[in-house]
Amino acid sequence: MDFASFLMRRLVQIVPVLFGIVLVVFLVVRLIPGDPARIMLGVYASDERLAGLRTQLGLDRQIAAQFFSFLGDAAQGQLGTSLVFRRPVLEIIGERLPPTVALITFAVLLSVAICVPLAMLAATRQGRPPDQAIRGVTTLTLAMPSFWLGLNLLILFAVLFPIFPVSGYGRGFLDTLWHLFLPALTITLSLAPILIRTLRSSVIEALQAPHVAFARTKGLPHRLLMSRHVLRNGLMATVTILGVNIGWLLGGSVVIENVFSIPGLGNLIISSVSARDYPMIQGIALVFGLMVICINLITDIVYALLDPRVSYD
Amino acid sequence: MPILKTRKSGRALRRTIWIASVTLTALAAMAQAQETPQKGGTLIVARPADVNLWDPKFTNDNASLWAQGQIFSNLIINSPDGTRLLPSLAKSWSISEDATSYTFNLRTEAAFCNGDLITADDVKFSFDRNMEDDSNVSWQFPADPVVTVVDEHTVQIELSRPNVAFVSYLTLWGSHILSKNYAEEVGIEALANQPMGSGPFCLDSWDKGQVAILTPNPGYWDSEKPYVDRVEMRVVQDDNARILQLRSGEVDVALLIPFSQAESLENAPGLETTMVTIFGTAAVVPNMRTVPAFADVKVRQAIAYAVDRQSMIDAMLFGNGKPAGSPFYGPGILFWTDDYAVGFDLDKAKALMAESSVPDGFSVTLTIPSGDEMAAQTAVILNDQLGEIGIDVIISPVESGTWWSLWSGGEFEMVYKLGTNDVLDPAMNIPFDFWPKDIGGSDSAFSGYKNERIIEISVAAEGELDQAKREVLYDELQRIAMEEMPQLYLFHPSVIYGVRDNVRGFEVFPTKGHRFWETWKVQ
Repeated sequence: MDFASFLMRRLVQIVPVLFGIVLVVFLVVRLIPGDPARIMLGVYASDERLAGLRTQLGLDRQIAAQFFSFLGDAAQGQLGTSLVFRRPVLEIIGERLPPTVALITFAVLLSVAICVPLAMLAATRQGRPPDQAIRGVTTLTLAMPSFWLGLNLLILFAVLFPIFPVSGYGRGFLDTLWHLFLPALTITLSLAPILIRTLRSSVIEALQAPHVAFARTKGLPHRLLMSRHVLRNGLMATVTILGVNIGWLLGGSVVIENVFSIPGLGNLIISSVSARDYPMIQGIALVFGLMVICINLITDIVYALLDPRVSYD
Repeated sequence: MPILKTRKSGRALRRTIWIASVTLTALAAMAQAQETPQKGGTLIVARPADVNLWDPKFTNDNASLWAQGQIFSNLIINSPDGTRLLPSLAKSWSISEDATSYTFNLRTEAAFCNGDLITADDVKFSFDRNMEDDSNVSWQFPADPVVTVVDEHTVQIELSRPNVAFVSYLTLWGSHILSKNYAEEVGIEALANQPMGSGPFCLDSWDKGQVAILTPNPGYWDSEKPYVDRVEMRVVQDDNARILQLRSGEVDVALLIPFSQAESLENAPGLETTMVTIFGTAAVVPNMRTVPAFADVKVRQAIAYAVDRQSMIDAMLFGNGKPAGSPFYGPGILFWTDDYAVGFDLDKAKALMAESSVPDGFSVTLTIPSGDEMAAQTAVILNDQLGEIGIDVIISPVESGTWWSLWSGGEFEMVYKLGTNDVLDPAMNIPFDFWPKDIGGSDSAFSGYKNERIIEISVAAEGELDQAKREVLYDELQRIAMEEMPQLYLFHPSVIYGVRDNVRGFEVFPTKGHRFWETWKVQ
């Protein structure tokens, strides 16, 4: 099977997955107690007013009817109007998505840039001081909760040595990079232990493989040997782990976004749940779902590119 | 009667202390006011949350309504010390003798940010819109007001029944004046996003989730104000980050500083922290419908005596609060008195329990909103202190939306609440706290409590223009409530804010509101 039909098939598979996500989110937000009308109108609202607002919001209709009208609108790209912000859900997601995506992309790139060289160093110096140091430090950062780590980075690099801003997202490419450096570093430091450890062990495994020993005996230069035979084999497990972790990062971004006041989606979903802003929660869940699916797809593609033995079926 | 006499002299003494402290505060304020305000500069404020929207009609969160207060004016406004109502867009007003008809004379020179003059049509438009069924702020218009435009600069409001507290409500965000022409031109969605200010400031730009920038409104009626050229309201969600920014001088004002951090900031150079006791009460509502024991007044009294409020304040708020001794929401509220306060007396509590219908105690679930630190700590202390009189408190933290739903649905045994009074007049919360649903209340905060005399008093007080007579009525109401304890009134918490030492005139009021147009910076 060729790449195009592989991609097409994967894209078609997205549809039932998305339907499942939407259905679960739709039901879960309605199953938990909590009435959007009551939360909107507050303690002083009379029963008549509450009933009136429920009718106006369509909340007094059958759940199935509500679901299908939501589904119909979503299929046309309409996610409704936020009950809190009184603006279209899509417009608000459009404002909140870039910070989250920028943060995660930056964090992933930074992680790769830091973890790959360190893992290679640890693997090639196995058991020696550099390896011990890298493993020791990463064990330490693994044990640090990210909000605590983030705050300490803030105190160190934004207050004591004011190199980076205390919070915010910034405008323009360079300003954004500058603002997002500390949050991205916080994520990197929590991601690094897992990445470095898996990459290190798979590189060690690859280094002992017969084909590497053969390449070495035939006199392949060290750099080529490492990049062509060792790293490429070693990266397989890391790509999988990175893929899974990015999906997890989307959910986990809320803590980092909160500490560094980044106006992203993670931040938004928490406040939307408290306010029972159904259209907003559904919209964000849909977007998060789509993103996780896309990341998995990309992981699979990268996987196939790295390993010719993986076929498109 | 000697007892009465003691009480009276106690009240006189407290009043003297109160007057003395008010005088001292006023003197301190005067000393500061002797500095002439300087114009210019940018005021940078760190706030814990961003504005959700700029349309008062759909607003019920603090971050939004505090910001709206900077760009919208009302007909009237509270005096900074919170004791009087002052003219704002209305230069004067009169109230009919039966307290059902209010006439407001508007200033002729006040303008919106686009230069359009503010007229009676705008007032009618704003009020009518906020009274609509889908409005989040319709509760701010009691007694079904009908707004009539008399002429371009005169508005008349007729109420269906007398309500002297009505003018107090007009200081709230539901009575912000919006431009009718602008709203018709741009539509509802734009009101949420691009408001047209009628107050001291205009919204210059809004980088959602990050910063809102305000600039002075050239058409504001008080040409002296605002003093600053620009206000940057930055969103800094994390408590620690907000403190760091204040310490580093990156911001001039930091709102809502956590109690645990206040002490560490006390000796920090270049900044000052201030504590304000808010118009709010942390209380626990017992449900008399689901727990028969709570219908027994002796049980409620026993609980009231079993709680050591001061130790609660010391442990949780680091001393930053006041014990609640009245159903009214704090010492600044009109007619408030703590003459009937109930103190900590464990022996009395045990004796009351022994006389009650449940001498062996009982077990009860206390529902609290999860993630609310103050609620959680209160619950733990209550569990400990009520355990002393044989009441086993089981703490049930639920997500805040669920908490709302359980409380307002009456599906609870005891529920924690932090109620606030947004105006000076106690009448605001009385229907909610004491009235049944059929006359516009909430089944006494969904507890099922009903006292005919309290209802009678509060209805009479709403229509009573004579302040002295109102005082007598509300005194009786407070006495009955403190005897019957329909809620376990615990404490009035404080809020703490910090400012850099070159900032003048910034103050957070007991309503938690604040005014950037009164603030200036020493250049």
